[in-house]
Amino acid sequence: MSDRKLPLDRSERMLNELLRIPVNTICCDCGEANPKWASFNLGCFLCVRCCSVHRKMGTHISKVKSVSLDSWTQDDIDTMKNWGNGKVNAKYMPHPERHPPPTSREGSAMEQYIRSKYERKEFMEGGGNYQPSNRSAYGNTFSGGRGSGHSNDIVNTQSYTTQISALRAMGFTDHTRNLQVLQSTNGDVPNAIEILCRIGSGPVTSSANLTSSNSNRNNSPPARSQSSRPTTTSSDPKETALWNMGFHDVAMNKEALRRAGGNLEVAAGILIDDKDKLAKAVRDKSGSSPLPARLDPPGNNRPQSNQNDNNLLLDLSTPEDNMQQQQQRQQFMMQQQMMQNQNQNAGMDQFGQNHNQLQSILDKNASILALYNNDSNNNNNNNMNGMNNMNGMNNMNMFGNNMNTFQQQQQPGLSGDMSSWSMNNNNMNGNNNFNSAFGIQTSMATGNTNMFGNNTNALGTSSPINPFGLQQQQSVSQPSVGFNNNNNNAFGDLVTSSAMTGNNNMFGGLNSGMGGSSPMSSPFGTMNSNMGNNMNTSMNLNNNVFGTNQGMNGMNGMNGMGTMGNMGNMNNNNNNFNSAFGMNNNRSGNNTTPWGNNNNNNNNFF
Amino acid sequence: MGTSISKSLTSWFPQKQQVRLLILGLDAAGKTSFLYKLQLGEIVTTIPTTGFNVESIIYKNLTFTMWDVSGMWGIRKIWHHYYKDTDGVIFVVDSNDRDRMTEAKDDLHRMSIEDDLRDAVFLIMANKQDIPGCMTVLEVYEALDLDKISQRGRRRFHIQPCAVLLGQGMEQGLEWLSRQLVKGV
Repeated sequence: MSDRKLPLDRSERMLNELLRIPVNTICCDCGEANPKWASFNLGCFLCVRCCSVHRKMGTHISKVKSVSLDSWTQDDIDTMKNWGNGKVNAKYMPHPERHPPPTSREGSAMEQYIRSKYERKEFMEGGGNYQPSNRSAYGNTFSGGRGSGHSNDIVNTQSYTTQISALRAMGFTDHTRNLQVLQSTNGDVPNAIEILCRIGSGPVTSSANLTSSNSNRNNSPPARSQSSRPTTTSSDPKETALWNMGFHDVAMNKEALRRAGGNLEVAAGILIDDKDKLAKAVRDKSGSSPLPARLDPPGNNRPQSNQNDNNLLLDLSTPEDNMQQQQQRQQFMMQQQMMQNQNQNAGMDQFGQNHNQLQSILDKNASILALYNNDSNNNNNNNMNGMNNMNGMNNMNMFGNNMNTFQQQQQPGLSGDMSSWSMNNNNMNGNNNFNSAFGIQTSMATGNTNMFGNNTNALGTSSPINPFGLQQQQSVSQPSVGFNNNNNNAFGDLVTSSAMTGNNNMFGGLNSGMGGSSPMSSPFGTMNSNMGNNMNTSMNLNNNVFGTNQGMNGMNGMNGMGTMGNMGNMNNNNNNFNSAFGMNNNRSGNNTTPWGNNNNNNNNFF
Repeated sequence: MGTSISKSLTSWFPQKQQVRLLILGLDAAGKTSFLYKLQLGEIVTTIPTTGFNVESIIYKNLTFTMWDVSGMWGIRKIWHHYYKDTDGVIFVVDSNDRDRMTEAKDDLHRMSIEDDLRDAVFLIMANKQDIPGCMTVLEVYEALDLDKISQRGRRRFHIQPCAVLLGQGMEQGLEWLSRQLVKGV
């Protein structure tokens, strides 16, 4: 055992010895003489052309090295010695007579042949049952119907009809890209979703199952959930919706729904407010302990309660006039700002695992304005919360990994209130985005002069039923501003309007960004990503996207020089985030950074 | 006369600013694919580069001369011959190759202290984001310890997730580069 690199001449000498073994004198795949390359995880020797296909498949399938130009470790050489072309072929192609290599050694025929052999393992005993690494539990919903389409280069829409319609239902509307991605995943929908989310594509919907909660067109929601966690298979869309809000205790969800008389929002409120009572009720019923109410993502400690927790609970449930509420909020912001700063100073780790709940009520009439439940993996939550407070609405956070519950209800009449916020908002694009992201019903903000204002507008109409704003369709976009309505995107369905504005629409690409991390975790994760998208900003930053990225923002702030991009169309998402999260504080004043101006604003803001 | 016409045309249409870029990274990171995806707009199945490829790509008002140098272990040692007068380095990383992240990090950090590259901007392309289960851009950021690079100097860098095979994320990377490299800005 040694992972020390051997001197070039020595490794080459050892490999050349192996190459003299008759079976190794020809390429493992095409039979060309004198292979000079090797796949050191599979253990076979290859010619340069086959080697290029192996490289193309990715290192999860095959890792190649040159016999003479690369450094080798003793372990690698041992693998080659233990395997060799003979054993590799015996394993991956026990019946070579049935699978002759294509006559043309060039081009896609050979590529398909090699992919069939190693990636899909179709030539193995009982072959063809290739299961792509099933990383996500939302997996098998669609994994049937890979069908005949194992070709990457033959554009055969037919073979992926089911999958494409599934993707479309989830809000990935770019047909070409869906097809492309499906081809690359051989029709595996969960993987395709992950890729689409990662690279940016059509809008990521909040997830199909949200859609299903108020429309029947998708009754078998491919619930996004973390891999270790079973998807909810509940036939009740409301339960599914609760699950998606981050309440992963099915029994408690049921109980809450029962108590709420089937009203989703109320049930969510119950889950938040009366968790303990509810748990007791369920426990009494079932005789077993359903706690904790929400499953924590595996590998995470139960979030430490952090000093922010209490502060984040902004409960304005007693009727008060808006003015007063606003003042409170403002105060709150101040506090929050301080907290953020503290956290930042303390370093990223601090952001690690918080359990934050934000419940605020914007409107007297609304029972729950924002409910923010963050469990998690997140790095940055604290910041976020900050923002939430400000807006009072949002919540975001999104970060991919977290399960965020967000429920927001707002009366249209609040728009006045909103606009006042919007003043603050200029910087805060983030917020706006967020809102949109969740699509919660915010109606407001149409008249904002501020650029970001637009985003806010994006939110659609309110739908009592579904807190998540499935219905948010209308984005009011003011093209002149230059900022897009980010929001729309978030929920795939909504997207349309935003796209029409002609602005960048951010959504498509952007969503994905977030999605990258999110598909595994929180339904909102996806949405989060959206938030970040301002096209035009002059700044480079970006992080938008993935929950994870936010982490990065934090770092960027510290560094002052680095930036991150998202895959989506717009790199410049920072503004949003930052503002939103207030992460940028560190950067303020640093005009030399690309972030310059915006940041400064942010700072002020927070 | 032909000459004078072309001369006057040239003066009329100011020449594009020339930018010299190096595309570096471990072998099989996707450097050559990246280059030819930009140049040809299509994916070519590339054989491992053992020397280098060089292409000119016009982007907005810049002409990028991109040198795609082999990333094979034995050849990485001679990368430094290409460093001089380089305006920017595009460092391509295979986000799916967790095992060799450290190796990539070492190379990147070694480059970042090269005197010849002190003024170069670094664009880190976290490639192969289309492979399920690959490292996210944040993970790549951390694995490459980019924090350290930024702390060490005032180096401008940007990490951009991309999927060359799907043509995603590349434009954004170039956009960042062009912003950094346009003269007078």
